[in-house]
Formats: sequence, structure tokens, C-alpha cells
Amino acid sequence: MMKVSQLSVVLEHHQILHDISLDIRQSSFTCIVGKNGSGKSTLLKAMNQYLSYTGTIMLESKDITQISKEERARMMCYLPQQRSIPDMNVEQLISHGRYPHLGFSKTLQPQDIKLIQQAAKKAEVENLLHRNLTSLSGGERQRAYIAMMIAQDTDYILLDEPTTFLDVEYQLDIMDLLHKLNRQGKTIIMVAHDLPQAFSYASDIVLMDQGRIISHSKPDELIQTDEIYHCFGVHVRLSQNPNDLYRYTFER
Amino acid sequence: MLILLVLASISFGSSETSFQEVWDYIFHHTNATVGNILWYVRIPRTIATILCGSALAVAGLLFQSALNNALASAGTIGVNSGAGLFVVLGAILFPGVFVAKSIFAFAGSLLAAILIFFIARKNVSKSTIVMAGVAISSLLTAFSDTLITLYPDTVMDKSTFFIGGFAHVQSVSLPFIGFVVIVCLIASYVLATRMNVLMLGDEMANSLGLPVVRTRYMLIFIGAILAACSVSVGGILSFVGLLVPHMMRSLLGNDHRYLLPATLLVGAILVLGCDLLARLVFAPFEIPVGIFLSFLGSPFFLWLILSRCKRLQV
Repeated sequence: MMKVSQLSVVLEHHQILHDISLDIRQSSFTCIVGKNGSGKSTLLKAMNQYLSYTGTIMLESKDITQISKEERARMMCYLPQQRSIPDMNVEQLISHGRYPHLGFSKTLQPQDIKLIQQAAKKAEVENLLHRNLTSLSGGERQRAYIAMMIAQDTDYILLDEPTTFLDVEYQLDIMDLLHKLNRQGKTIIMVAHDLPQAFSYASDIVLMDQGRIISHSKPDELIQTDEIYHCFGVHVRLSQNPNDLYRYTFER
Repeated sequence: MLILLVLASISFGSSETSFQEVWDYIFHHTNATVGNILWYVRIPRTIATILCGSALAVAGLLFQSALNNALASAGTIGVNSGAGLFVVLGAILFPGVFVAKSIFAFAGSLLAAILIFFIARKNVSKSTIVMAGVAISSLLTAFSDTLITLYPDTVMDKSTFFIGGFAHVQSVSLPFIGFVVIVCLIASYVLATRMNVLMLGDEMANSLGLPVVRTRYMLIFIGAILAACSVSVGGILSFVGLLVPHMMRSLLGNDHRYLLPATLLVGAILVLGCDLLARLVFAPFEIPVGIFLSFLGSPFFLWLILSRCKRLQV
């Protein structure tokens, strides 16, 4: 379980997050939604210890600031939204996922190589292993990064808008892959910009506005309230059409 | 190739000692004069060129990795300017003492690097360090130009140092410099996988458990020591730290576990080969290897970056 208590973040004299408290259930698929600038990505960065903050974040009953960086990386992985594209092939990228598990010499052992191959298989990038990341499509590259996270073998997987800029087909691929990982017991914490997608895949929805949490509930509970309408100006409905892409639709 | 160049470097030179005489001395100790040339000139010079070539090339690779900037070098982070200022200072305080020049160059390079750490320590992003380097370079150059204006006699020390060369290598300092360079090269290799992780960007590297800021500090610190060692022996040799890592990246890719040893080896080959040519082309006169490196390095580097831009359609 991840427990966030009274978390506040100030960046360049602006308070971005205000006293946020949040419990993330083990093996949940939690989507964090909210308008642009609501502090979703900042919350994820703080969880990953990339920003300084006040308050506490407990991971498996341990204060996250008290555990070493490598131990944290063995418990939790994170995929930021914006990344430079490094000049390396897919196999090299996936192998970096094993970095926190390697000893001082940072040399891959036979069991690491086996896990890298399994991760490539799970993310369906086996045929791309020797391709350079710069030559891949957005969807293929995203799958390669998720293969790296699978190789990192952590219980908590944090992702910041992993389907942004992807075609619908690739979006579904990525979401199905994350859903599969969630069913295997991984806790997924994901910032999402696509509301129908988030509602359809998530077990828990965290709704944020102006650096505060407005609601933390299950999708079916949230659609009974007006909170989505107050935040986004749209109503959420369960889809009546079995051919719709997602279980939920949104109406003005 | 390195072995062949080493053999050539101790066999040929500007003095009228024939190849046969050198090998007769090595196997039969026939001629004491030849022995003196070998022990006091050619062997120290060969060792110095190997040390400086490998140290400068690896220093360039470390700076580029730490700053994630392909154009980073000892010049960019102010190491060369620091060395230059201290050489002028050494020439003013201890005129005519050659060893003082080496010691002052070493101290100046290190001090420049420490100054950058001090300035950039609060927000040590890659652009912060590069900007701090540019600022410090300008400041140190202004100081050394002021000193040259006040003490015009020192201009020769500064210009010979900035051209770079191995004509006056002091064998007495080589064991210490050699030891420091070898320790730094081993430390660099230990950091090779961490340099690979750094390529993923700060956020991803942090999420993989890499202490990003500390790793960047370590790379710059080791790079500064390597550059300082080279500068104190051979003056400022341009292009080695820039050219060799680029060349090796084009051939081997970006995996630092292979890139680092290859850069080390080719850096040594390049400087040793250029020094040999610098000694032989206009023999019995020799031109400083720094000039030779610039003549050879500039067009090659231009070709390299232009072909790379064409390939990437940038």
C-alpha cells in the first residue's frame, strides 16, 4: 500500500499541491484525472522522489525518504510523459530495467538476461530488440519502455499519460498491457488525460483540481456524483452501445 | 596499431640516431648516447603522449556524458582557461621554472572544476553547468589577459602552453601523473553502466535508482582530474576530447562499456601518431603536436558533424 499524507509541493514560489492525503490500494489500477495544471504530474513526480515536498509518503509502511534510491527502484518504477529519445536499441533499453537489481559491478547475470527476454515477450517487442529507439513508431517505443518497466520487476508502476500522442490502436494496446500487468498483481498508478479510457480501465479514480484531491472513488461511484461535471463540464454515462470503444461515454 | 606506433615513437625522432642504433642499444646496450636519448627523451615522450591522449579522450567522453551534451569538453567547463590563468601566474611567480608550469596548470584545471561545482551545486542541471563553464571561462581568460597586460614577459609561456606539445616532457612527473591517470581510467570504467543509464534522462535515471546529481558530479570530477593531468604534461591539445568520442560513437554506438575502452585506446593512438608525424614531417625541426592535431582534427570533425547532420536530417 502507498500512503500519501499532507503532501505539499511548492515550485518557483507557487504552491502546486496543497496538503494532499491519499491511500493507494495494493493491486489497484488507480487513474489520476483532472484538468491541465491541476497537479497530477507533480503528484506523480513527488511520489517518485523527483521533487522536494513537505509531508510523508509511505511505501509498504516505510517512509520513502528513508529507503535508498536503489531499494525504492526495486519497489516502484516510473515512466515520465516527456522523454528524450536515447540513441540505443530496444534490448539495451530493456536491460536498463535490471539496473537497480545489479550488484556494484553493474553486470548482467544470466537470470537478468532471462528476465529481459521475458519482459520483451510480455510487451510484444521481441521482434524489435535490435532496432534503434529513434527508428520506432510512438506506439512501439512506448511498448519498449513498458518492457523496461516489466524488467524492473516492481510492485508499483507509475505512468504519466502513457497513451498521449498515440493512435487509438496503440492506445488500446498499451492499456490492455497495463491491465494485464494489473491482473498479475501489479499496482498501477497512472495520470490520464482521456476520461472514457481512464474510467473504463481504472479500479479507482482520483479526481484533482487546483492542487487538491476532489474525490477518490471507484468509477461507478464517481458517476453518481456531479464532481466530474463541476470539474470538466461533462456528464459521465455508462455506454448503452456494445460497439463503443469504452464502457463509459461523456456528454455535454 | 598502438604497439607499432610505440615502437616507431622510440625508434624515430628529430635527432640523427638511426633505427639500427636504437635497436642495437635495446638488445646490446652498445651506445650510451643512444641510451640517453631513449631514456631521457623518447621513452618519457612516448609515455606522456599515451597518457595525455587517453586521458583527454576519456575526459571528453565523461564531460559529454555528464552534461548530456555532445559538444562538452575541457574547454566548455572552463578547465583549459583555469589551467591557462595558472600557467601565467606560475610564470610570474616562478619565472623560468618549468616544473612550476606543470604544477600550476594542474592546480588551475582542478580549481576551475571546483569553482563550477560550487556555482552549480544548488541546481546542477546540465545547462547550468555548461552556462557556469562559459561564465567561468570568460572570467578566467579576462584574469589571465589582465596579468599578461601587466607582465608582458609571460605571453610566451601562455602561447606555448596553449599550442600544446611534448618537446619538453619532464620524466620526473610521469610516474605520479601515470598513477593518477590509471586510477581515474579504472574509476571511469566502473561508472560505464551508470553513464548508460544517464542517457535515459534525469527522471528515468532517478526512477531506476541512479543518484543522478552525484553521478554527474563524479563524472565531471574524474574528467577534470584527467584533463588536468594531460594539461600539466602536454599543454592544451585541442580536439582530442571532442573528436575521439564522436568517432567512436559513430563506429560502436553508445554503450559506454565498449565506448570507453575504445576511446581510451584511440585517444592514445591519435596523439601518439600525431606527435610522431609532428617530429618527422619537418625533421630535424618539429612543430608542436597541438598545431598538427588542429590541422588534422578540424576538417575531420567538420566532416563528421556534417555527415551526421545529413544522416539525421537535422
